Amino acid sequence: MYHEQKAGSGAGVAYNCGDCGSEVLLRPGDVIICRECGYRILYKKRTKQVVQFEAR
Amino acid sequence: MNQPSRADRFVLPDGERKVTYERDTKVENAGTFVIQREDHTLANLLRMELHKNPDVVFAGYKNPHPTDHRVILKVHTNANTTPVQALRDAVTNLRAEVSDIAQQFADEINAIRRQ
Amino acid sequence: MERQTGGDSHVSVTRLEDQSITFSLKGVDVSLANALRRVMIADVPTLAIDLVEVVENSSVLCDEFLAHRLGLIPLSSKKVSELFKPYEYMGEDDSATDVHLELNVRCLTEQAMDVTSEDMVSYDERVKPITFQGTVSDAAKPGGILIVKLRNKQQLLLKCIARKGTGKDHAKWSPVATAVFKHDPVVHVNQELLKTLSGSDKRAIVESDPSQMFKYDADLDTISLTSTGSCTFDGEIVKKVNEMGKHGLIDIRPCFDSFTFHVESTGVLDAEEIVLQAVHILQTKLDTVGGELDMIESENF
Repeated sequence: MYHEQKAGSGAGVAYNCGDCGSEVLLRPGDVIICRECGYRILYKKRTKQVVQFEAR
Repeated sequence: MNQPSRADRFVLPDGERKVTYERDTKVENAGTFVIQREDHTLANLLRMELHKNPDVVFAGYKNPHPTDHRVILKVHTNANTTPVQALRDAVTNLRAEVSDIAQQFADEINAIRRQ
Repeated sequence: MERQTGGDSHVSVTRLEDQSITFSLKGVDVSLANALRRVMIADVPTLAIDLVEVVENSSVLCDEFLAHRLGLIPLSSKKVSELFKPYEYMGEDDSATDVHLELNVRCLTEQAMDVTSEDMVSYDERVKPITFQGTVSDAAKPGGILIVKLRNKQQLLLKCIARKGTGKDHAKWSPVATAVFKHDPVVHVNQELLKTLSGSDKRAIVESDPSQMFKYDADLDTISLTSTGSCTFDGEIVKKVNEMGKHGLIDIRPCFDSFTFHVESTGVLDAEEIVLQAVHILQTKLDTVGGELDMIESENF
């Protein structure tokens, strides 16, 4: 791969809470729950990769 | 995924001739021109100019299919000239006419701009 | 046998403004007028955004939707003659084909923010989005083309690459809003029949014409032609004349070799520039075919 992928067991992957919008860090094996409000639906953040589109 | 690139409509691939000519085997002084990567803009213009030539017996064009980016121009002349010559004359006359229009237009614009 | 020589074409410009032009073309075949119109729409090159790199987009519109809208923004194309189309250029230097623009906005207010074409930053002074003038608008930024609206904390960060292209490839590259032509009318009024009509009849005939081509002069009791520019060949006046039983009083036909062109630019190029370019491109097309024909001739004989 051209870039390093941080191992999930490191700092954790950031997700956004569906309710309050706060950032939640999850490691593999964590319970899926927002730490602030207890909402259980978390959304993945937008990719860091730059996407290219044809303006057509 | 299966769509050909949009540039296919006007980019001539390497090795292909823009205009090819095939003499008609069964009829004297008749032939077919195939002009690649052109459409009604040019083909209709050439056809109508050929009609003005009294030595041209038949001139017609078609665009075989919308996805097939070429025009087929069929020309049939009498014994006084050949299809290639007739088309060459048509192009020359059109070129002169268009140049004339270009010049007149530029002159008109300059005249207005000077005021 | 000699064919009749051409050379009786005539061009005269009726109205010239920055973004629109009206001119008349006489003495040419309709195929030439149509070829000119088609070239103006599809073959005159301009600049438009072709590639969009999205770094950050938290707006309500998805990436490709935004990219599509950005492609349609008209960019001033005075520089286009210096650039090459991507498939025509084989070198390494990107600046021969690309012009970069950037859009970097973030909504920091509670109130929704309008992102318009005026927020776009161009890396080349001569390539800028066209703004429309003279609009009555209570928007915060009148004149800019609205791209998207942002809520508080939504952000947009994208880099755009504008390239040269033609309308044939994609409509975003077409320089005209409209390019139309119509046949000029040839109007014939039968004066003998006209004398048999009363003044009120004549007035009724003049009023029946939606394009108002005629004028009734009460003192002289005549119908005279005003301007034919508004003629639409609707036939209403002929219908009225026939209703009155005066068949053949007025005859309106399209002239087969006299045309009035009306070209409106989107602002990317001046209207006269579009027409001049169109004529030159037509010349180039003819030259290409002529050159190939010369080759064919030399091969065959």
